[in-house]
Amino acid sequence: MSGTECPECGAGISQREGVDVGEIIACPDCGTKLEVKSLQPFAIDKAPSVEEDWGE
Amino acid sequence: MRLALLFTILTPENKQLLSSAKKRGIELGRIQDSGMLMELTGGQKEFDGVLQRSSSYARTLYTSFYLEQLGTYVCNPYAVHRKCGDKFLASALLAKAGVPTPKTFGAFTPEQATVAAKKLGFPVVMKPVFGSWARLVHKLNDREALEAELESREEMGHAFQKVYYLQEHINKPGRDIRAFVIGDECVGAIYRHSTEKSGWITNTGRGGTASNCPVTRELSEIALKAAGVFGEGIYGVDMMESEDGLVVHEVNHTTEFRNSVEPTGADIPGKMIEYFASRAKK
Repeated sequence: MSGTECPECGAGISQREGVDVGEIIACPDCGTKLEVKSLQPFAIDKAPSVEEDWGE
Repeated sequence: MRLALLFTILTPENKQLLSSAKKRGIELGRIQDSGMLMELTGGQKEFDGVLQRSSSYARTLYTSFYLEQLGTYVCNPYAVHRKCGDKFLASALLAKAGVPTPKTFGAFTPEQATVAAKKLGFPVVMKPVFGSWARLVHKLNDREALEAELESREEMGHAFQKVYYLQEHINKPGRDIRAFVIGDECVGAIYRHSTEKSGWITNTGRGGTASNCPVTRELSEIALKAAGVFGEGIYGVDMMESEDGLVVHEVNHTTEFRNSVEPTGADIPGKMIEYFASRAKK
């Protein structure tokens, strides 16, 4: 398992077991929602905002 | 057979669908809509079947249409999303088919919306024609509330928010029902209870809670009839318990189910995958 940094606050984010590309995780320090972009190497970015036309 | 799951983000529902496919030995590719580049004048078919799970209604419409043009089976198909996702169209189609549904009017001006409210009697429910999670669904108790709503929409709304959709308010018993229809079967249903957090809204995404709702013969028949209006597929049929029986107020075309597997005990993602794979083979 590898790790990376929160793009918002710089806190270390470690790769949880079972996490997958496209999944949304929260930064344990600042709470920013982050999207997993790749697993090897582990990469994240700020999650897309919930848009007006999302949901069911 | 090349099958794929199309999504915006990998929600818990989408993870359950991937896991259900894996358990059944069904290989499911992944398409994240944010990464799609659609060549409209010469795209190539990559998948035989795509399970549509985009979070965005706009992306749902365009990706479904695009993939179908390439010869891909999309579940649910474009036509389903187009009709179900527009409350104006859905209400008219449900009523035409004889599905019990609340009395509803459409209008384009505040003047005609006010006439509709008078015909319905207060309180009335105003909804955007497109929208989910009960966003901007408002219960308007009197003329003053209606006028404030209409002024806001006129000043701040975009064109589709000025398509006024007004519906009879059903005095539901603090809950409504979502029934899950997959193909020709109603596989389970939940009560969605309003809470202090959700107010009069029952949507679980807004703080409502879920519990099992027995699938009675009446409920199953109405759910299947409502789903049938839009064509065979996978649906979440929302209904309310009125004094005159069950009434359908919405049919969801990309239904969420994260809070429903546990209370119903129904393997909703598993049944969805089995249905999708079997239809893609046809």
